[in-house]
Amino acid sequence: MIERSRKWIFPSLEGQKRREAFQGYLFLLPWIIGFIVFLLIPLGMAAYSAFTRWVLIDPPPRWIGLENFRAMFTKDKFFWWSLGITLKFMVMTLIPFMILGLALSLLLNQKLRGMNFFRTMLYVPAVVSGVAVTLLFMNLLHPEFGAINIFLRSLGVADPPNWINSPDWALPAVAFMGLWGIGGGAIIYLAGLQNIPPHLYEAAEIDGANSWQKFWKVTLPLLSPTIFFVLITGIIGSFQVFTPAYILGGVTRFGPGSKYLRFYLLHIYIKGFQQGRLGYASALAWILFFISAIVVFIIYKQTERFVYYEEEGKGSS
Amino acid sequence: MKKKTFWLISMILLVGLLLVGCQPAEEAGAPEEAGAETVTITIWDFGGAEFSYLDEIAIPEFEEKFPNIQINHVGVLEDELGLKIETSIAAGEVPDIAIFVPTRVVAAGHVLALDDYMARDGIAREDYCSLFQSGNISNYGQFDDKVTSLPIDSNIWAMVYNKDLFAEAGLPELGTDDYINFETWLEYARAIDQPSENLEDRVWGSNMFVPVFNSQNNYMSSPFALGDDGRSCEGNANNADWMNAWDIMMTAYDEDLTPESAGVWFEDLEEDMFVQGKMGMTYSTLGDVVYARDQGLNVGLTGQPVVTEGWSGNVGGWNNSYSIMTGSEHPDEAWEFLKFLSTEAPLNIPLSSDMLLSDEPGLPGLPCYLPLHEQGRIAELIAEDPLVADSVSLMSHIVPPPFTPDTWTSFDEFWNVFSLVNDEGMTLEEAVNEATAVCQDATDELWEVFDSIGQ
Repeated sequence: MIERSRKWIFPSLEGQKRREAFQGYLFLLPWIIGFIVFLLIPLGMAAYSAFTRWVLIDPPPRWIGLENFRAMFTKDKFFWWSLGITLKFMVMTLIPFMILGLALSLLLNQKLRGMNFFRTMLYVPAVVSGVAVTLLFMNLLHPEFGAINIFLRSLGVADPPNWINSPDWALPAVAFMGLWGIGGGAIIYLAGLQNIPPHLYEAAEIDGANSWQKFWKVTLPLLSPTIFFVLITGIIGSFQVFTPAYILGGVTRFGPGSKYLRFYLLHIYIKGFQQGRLGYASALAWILFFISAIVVFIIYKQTERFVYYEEEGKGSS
Repeated sequence: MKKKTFWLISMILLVGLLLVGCQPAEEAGAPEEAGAETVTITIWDFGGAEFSYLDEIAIPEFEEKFPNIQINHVGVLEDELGLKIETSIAAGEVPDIAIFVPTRVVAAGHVLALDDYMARDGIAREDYCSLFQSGNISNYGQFDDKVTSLPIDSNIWAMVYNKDLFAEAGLPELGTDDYINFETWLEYARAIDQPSENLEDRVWGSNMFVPVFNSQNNYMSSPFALGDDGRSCEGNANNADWMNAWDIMMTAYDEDLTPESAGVWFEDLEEDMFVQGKMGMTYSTLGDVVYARDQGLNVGLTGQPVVTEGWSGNVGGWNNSYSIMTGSEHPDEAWEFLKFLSTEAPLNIPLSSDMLLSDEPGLPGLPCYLPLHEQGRIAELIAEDPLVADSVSLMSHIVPPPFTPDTWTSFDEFWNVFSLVNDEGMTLEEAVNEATAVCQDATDELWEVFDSIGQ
């Protein structure tokens, strides 16, 4: 019977190969089950619920077509607001952090004693829990007693910002917190730097290139795939800011869901779990997916112009 | 690997996974029942000192009377209770009884109508105090003409003042029939205030009557700060009367007439400034004013300053009300406890301060169940204690606001008005209008969710 079922599943394979294929899929089965149960089915449910009015405390979901999307674009003031906050954050942090991460990686790429120690120390903050980091910065950024404002006052700044309690400084405060994690990006750059063949630098030196020319003509082009990767992950990460917004928003004087820290993902959370509007929150999540996909697609299209892959020449994939 | 061994291992793994996956979840929260006939009822409220009377007085008394019913009292942070109730509904693990069930949860049909139980046990709606009769779902106990919660106590939110400081400042004594507006409040605060660099000698005119904590929620303006329909912050929370009231409060803040000006918040103090005789006026429940008097202060009870000249609603009020959830597995036993809490327990629960840092377990107000006013300790208090009699009189000043899903969330932004002026450099008008705009957005969102229930 087992052999007959194998023949039915793999009709084109014979004997041993069929057995091996069957055994292979059997070993894959736990992952396949997990994929279906924890990814495909939830995705399908999310796709369905985006077209329903589904309130947590008032099930079952009721089909309403595109009403959620219509309400999102025409009635939900916080939809556009939260997108704006998220995009502002992205503009504030993406390029500066990429540059800082790169600079840090160039430092970490020096052949000096103790460099492993520095690499470890600079990477450790990136693996600390986001909640712990947020709580730490909550204290550092306290307008009266925080170390940062005490330091600013010692430098002669009479009226330092109120940080998370200020409409103008709340978002920059969260951006500032992001500095904590640039070690993670630096390590990725470092891996890219160490993959650059040294003979290219030697050749450049022989040709009389100075440090800046070596960096601009050798390092940057060969690091471009890594930069591209960091850019994509940075964009995706910007769209996924939640923990600092949720925790800091809850302790600011503006209260939970503070509009000055109402990132898009927090907006989804508020709609879905605080207001119990699961259908609407699903619709918001799909819009986030499409926006992210479009942005990443546009950047991918620029690969040919800006990303250099050494094996096959510029712009090849 | 041999075929048989391979298949044996695969089957064992698969069966093992299936068995693990199909295990029923352990029921969280309620302890195991003590015996076959003992039922455990879970009750959720904010816990802490405010509800310690349950653990120390009410529950032991009830369990002695009903040994087969055990009560599991769970305290949940006030900010989280609503969300916790909603997620417990989604998870199918609701408590039996909960306090202040969110209005949309009530509207979605997740609380039991209590009318049949009340009729069976001879309890009439008319047996309850005036606040309950208002029929407002928001902690006043009724929705869609059904009783959805029963109140334990009925609490005034009035003004207590230090009679000695008033006399020293040449100010008249205020009684339950007196009405003051914010201009008068400012005049009194200025008269009482005694500036000093020394905290021992410092006396402040008044506590700050922050609108979102006092007047807005408690309908001390006409129109209500959310309008007659409970939906409109714009034009109601920032009209001329409110701008005037804010202007007066800002003046008091600038003139350092209130402890807030010095960055001193009452909850940060080890002992309350009013109880120390360092403040002329503050907001108060009955429990607060009795506690202050018991600490040796010569105090009086009157209404709060109203925003609108001539408006009669100068006292706020609320009931501590509990509901039985429809998902309760033991509604009959839950009813017995709720009925006990509402109609018997308050006889043995003393008055206690809600705001003035008393450690004693107790209720901040009189029972809402009126037959108790003629019994035992409660009857004696009403007959003999002038402050208690004043609170009963002030109860009639409460004008329940129109229904709105969640006044606290609607008005929350107004906490920031002073900061917007002092820290962000806005004018008062800009700050109030900014808060009103946020209030309107929040209110619109609340109504959108509420209106979508049942559609």
